[in-house]
Order: sequence, then structure tokens, then C-alpha cells
Amino acid sequence: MKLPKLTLPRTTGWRLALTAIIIVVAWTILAAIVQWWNAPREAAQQRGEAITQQEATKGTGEAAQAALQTVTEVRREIVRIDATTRRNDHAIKSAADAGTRAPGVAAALHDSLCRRASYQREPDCAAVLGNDRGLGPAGTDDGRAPATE
Amino acid sequence: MIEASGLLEPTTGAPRPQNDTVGEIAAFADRQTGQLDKANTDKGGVKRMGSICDDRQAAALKEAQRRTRKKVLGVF
Repeated sequence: MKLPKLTLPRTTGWRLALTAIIIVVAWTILAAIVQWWNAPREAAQQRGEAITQQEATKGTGEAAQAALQTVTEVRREIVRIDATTRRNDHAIKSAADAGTRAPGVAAALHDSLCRRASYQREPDCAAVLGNDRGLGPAGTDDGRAPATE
Repeated sequence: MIEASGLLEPTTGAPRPQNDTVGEIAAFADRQTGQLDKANTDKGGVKRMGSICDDRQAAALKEAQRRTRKKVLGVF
């Protein structure tokens, strides 16, 4: 039995080629449109980020300058405070009765200061703090250390 | 910036009385008040620096928003 010869129509190859070309062209056009659509947005986004960075840098620079000025003003004020302290010290010690001794008050003040965080690490405060905890060395039962250093 | 300024460092207590005279004890009270003034000055400086940073940051953000705002017809 002889089989019939199978032959594709001659136009089929051209159709396939044409379809492929159309798909490639359509894909290219679509890609171009997407690119055209997104390009301005990406550019705008990059521009926005650059502006934000620029403004942030500018703001940081201005803030640093203002901070430096603040520190300078604070230091000047500290100098003024120290000058006032020196002036007051002279005035107080020059006052009448300034030389009057008050050993009881001085001793109480010493012990009181030892209980403050600012002075607790002073070597002569150990006895006071030990007494407060009930661990003081013998001879300091009155809870007082010498008034003068 | 605030950390580097040194304004957050603890303010030390004034030197304690060197003798038991009334004058020295009173002078100590004044010295300690001076230290209190210093602490408050530092605190004021920190507060001011914080405000400056906040203001500058807000201004920078506002300016960035203004510059990146979409313009109507590319003009307004």
C-alpha cells in the first residue's frame, strides 16, 4: 500500500516566519514603551534622592556650625561663672566674722558631703560610709571624721 | 554632635571646705552654687543644640519636599 505524500502548503513557512517577526517587533515596541514610560520616573526619583541628600547635608553643616557656636557660648558662660565664684570667694572671706571657727558645723558638713555621690569616692569618706553601714572602724563611733583635710 | 560637645559630661562637685571657719564654709556654699550654674548652663546648651538639630532637619526636609514637588504644567 502506498501512503499519500504529505506536503505542507508552501505558505506555512512564510506564515511562521511572519508571525515570529511580528512577535519580535511587538515585543520590541512594548519594551520601548515601558522604557519610555519608566525613564522619566526613574530620573525624577534619582533627582529627588539627590535633592534630599543635598538638603540633609546642608542642614547637617548648618547644625554643626550652630552647635559649635553654642559650645563656644557655653564655655564663655562657664568662664563668667568661675570669675563670679572667685569674686564671691574674696568677698565672703573678707567679711567680718569670716574667720570664726565652727568645728562642729564643719565636721557635720564633711560627713554630709561624704554621703553625696559627688564626694563618696574621696579617701576620707570611707570611714563615714562604713559607719553608716555599721562597718566603721573603731574610734569613729560618733559618725564623724576630722573636719579638716 | 551633642555627645562630642562634652556638655553631657558630669559636673563635678566644688572643692570641699579646707578649714572649719565660717568664711570657708560659706565660700564652699557659693562654690557649689557656681557648679550648679555650670550644670544648668551645660543643660541649656544641650537643649539648644537639640532644638537646632530638630529645626535644621525639619527645614531640610521641607526644602527637599518643595524642590521635588511636581509642578503643574511644569511651571507652578
